[in-house]
Amino acid sequence: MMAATTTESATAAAPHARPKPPATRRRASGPDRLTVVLLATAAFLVVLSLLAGELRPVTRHAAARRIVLRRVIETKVIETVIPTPGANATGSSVTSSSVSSSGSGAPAYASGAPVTRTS
Amino acid sequence: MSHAYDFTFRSMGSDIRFLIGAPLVPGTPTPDDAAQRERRFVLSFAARLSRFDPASELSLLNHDPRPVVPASALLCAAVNAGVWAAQRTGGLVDPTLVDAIERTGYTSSRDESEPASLRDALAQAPARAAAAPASGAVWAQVHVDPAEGTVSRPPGVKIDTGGTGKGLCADAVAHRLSGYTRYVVDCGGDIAVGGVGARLEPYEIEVEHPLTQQPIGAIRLGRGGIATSGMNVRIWRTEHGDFAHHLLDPATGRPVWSGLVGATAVAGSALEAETLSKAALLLGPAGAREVLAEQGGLIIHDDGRVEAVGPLGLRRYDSSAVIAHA
Repeated sequence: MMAATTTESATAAAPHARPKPPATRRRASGPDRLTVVLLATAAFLVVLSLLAGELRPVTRHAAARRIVLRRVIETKVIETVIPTPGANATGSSVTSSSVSSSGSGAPAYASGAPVTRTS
Repeated sequence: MSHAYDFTFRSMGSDIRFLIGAPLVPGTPTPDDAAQRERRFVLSFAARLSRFDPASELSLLNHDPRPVVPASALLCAAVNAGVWAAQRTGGLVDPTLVDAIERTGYTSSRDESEPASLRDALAQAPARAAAAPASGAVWAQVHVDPAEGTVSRPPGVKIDTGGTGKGLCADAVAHRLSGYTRYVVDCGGDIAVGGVGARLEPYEIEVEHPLTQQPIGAIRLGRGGIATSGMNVRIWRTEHGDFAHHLLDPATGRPVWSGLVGATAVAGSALEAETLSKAALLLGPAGAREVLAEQGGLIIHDDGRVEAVGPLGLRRYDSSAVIAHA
């Protein structure tokens, strides 16, 4: 009897001990889809707000930022000027002159500065 | 180091001088080639616009009986410059005073003539008075159509481009030298300056005193124009024993004695500078201060005093000669 009872009990309990289908078990062990979506959206919004917070000061400082453009122009010319033959014979004159660009004063030409005068 | 090519020759009754820096772009003609090219341009400019050559384009226009006359691009530009100067000065710098200037005796080139003494002329000159525009404003009837290549004006009206010719010529040559680092084009004292090198390191342009022929000082100029008008070069004694010069009061057709013997103007171009300097001299001290106030200039009084007006980068050689900075 005892054995039969045990067997019956075991037989009666057998349907309850049967493992549930895999899908039902996964749903019970983790968050549902809605939760996952909500959490992901929340995380995205947190990251977005952090990035926006980083950008805002940059924009604010940009208006007051001072930008200095420095342009350096250096001209270096080596030239030999040969007066045109016959040029002086027609009443013209040629002067070749080198001018230093490093000084603070204006160029000083071999034949003098340009002159504005009555003509 | 930068390099300047310095070239001087004679044309338009004056010394013409080019200072040309290095080419900006490889392949550009060398400065000496450019100077020769521009010399030919200036000589052609002078010949085609001479009032004293009956075969010049200007003379042919002045004697053409048609109201509308075909004209070359150069003649159109020269007449246009004269009309522009009249508009700019309200008719003071008038390009239609050919008959009046010929009545004073200026009928041929005075390049070979020794000028009369300006001091003697001032001693005999009538009471000083500012010039005024002519009442008829004939210049307003002169029209240029560059597209059609014509100049229209009432037949018989003669045009003199000499009052603006040197400034226009200096500007034209300067434009043609824009491929060089720096350049000065000096057409008898009407000067155009340009080039990136000149902006970085401006030229110093000396100003000659019309009475002493000594430099007053130097004006720094990196771009634009500067010009001087005076009565010390084209001045002569008439057959009646009095003195005359080439700067006429449009209202009277007679030489002006305004209280100034010279005026120097700085402006955006040589043409404008020449126009303003003439207007300043014609108006006398008070008017000259107004004309030169915006861009700067110098006026030289009858007694030789020099007065600086407006914004001017002037380095004076003799501070006692400059009396004020308005």
